[in-house]
Amino acid sequence: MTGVSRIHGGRAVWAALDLSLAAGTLTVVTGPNGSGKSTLLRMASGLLRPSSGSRECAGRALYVRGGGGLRGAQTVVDAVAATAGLAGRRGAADAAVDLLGIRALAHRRVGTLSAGERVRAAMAAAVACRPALLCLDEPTAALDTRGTEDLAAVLDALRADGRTVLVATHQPGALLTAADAHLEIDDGRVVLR
Amino acid sequence: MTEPTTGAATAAVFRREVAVELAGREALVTTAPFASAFVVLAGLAFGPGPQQLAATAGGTAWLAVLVATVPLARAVAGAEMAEDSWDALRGLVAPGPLFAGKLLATWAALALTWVLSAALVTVLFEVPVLPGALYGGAVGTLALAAATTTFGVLVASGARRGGLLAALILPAGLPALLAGTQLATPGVAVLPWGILMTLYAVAVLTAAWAVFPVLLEE
Repeated sequence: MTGVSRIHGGRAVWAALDLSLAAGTLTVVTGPNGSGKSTLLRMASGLLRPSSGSRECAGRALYVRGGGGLRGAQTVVDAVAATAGLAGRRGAADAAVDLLGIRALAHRRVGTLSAGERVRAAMAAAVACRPALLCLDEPTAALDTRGTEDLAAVLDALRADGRTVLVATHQPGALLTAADAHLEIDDGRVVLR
Repeated sequence: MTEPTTGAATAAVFRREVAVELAGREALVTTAPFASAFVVLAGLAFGPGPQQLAATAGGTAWLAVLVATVPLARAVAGAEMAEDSWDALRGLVAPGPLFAGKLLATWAALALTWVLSAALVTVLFEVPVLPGALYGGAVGTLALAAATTTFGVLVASGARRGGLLAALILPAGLPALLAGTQLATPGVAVLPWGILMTLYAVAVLTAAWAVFPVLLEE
């Protein structure tokens, strides 16, 4: 993203942001509520159009908030397959379910899962889709320490596969240790790289 | 990485919509009982004379379909947003296939609603099924599906406009209601109403196709 600004309600949420994420890297974004983390991720994924500046991404970008991305009425394996099918990768769903260690949840409806289980299911879909850029917004909010460590291991595998991962979180935990870069932001500005 | 073709992406969206409906049966439970009750109650209200029932049969079926667009519109984007799946869908699928896949799913739901309503009307009101009515059912529900898909996204993307859905979608479907009713009424000339229905469908589909990508932008 080059010279990216986002004006919302007459206020500059982001101003003149330059950010380049190399392929196969994990970047963790932290900052207080309202600092612009979600706006940054939504602009990076292409969901939110910047008020000015430009964005380029070498491939498909996927934005997932918390454990979202899947329809609650479907079983985990069907929901992961349906989402992967949107990326033309339906056949990758089974392997992703196994990679995330949620085979035992495969035939439960997504809507009946706990918050932590939903994050795992959402990550299985993300892995199956194999996006060039994966933007995860608060994926650790519902995870315990072990869950965050497991998530870090999955993101590490994605990074090794050449995927670029951008994670916004209040509780980085093990993610910070695994990250290639850390952006601390406040009031729409990067205060620490 | 090879991106899915437009046709493959459209099929994937449609397949996902069908799978979600089969898993949750939300459209079925919100529209089928409603449409059935609507036709039965209309028969009681407008009848019981055979002449009155014959005169109101076509309009009854189309009113049931038109009103069913309101709950079906929620499935387009509102339900996706409530479950945090809308962003992933937008990220993975280009606007064209996303519109086409949602349109096909909505068309299927509306066409089935029309078939159910028309079948009940045929049996309970004792009226024949006309060839023109079948054409009107196919083309009219396609046009209504385009309007429903568009308004579904429009309303869901603006939280404060939620109450506007019925106010927007019902008048927009008025040409389908009028032409569909006439095409299902015995003794009415088919050609002018068939042309009106066709022109309406072309206009709505064109407008929806043009507007849909803009509605997806934040």
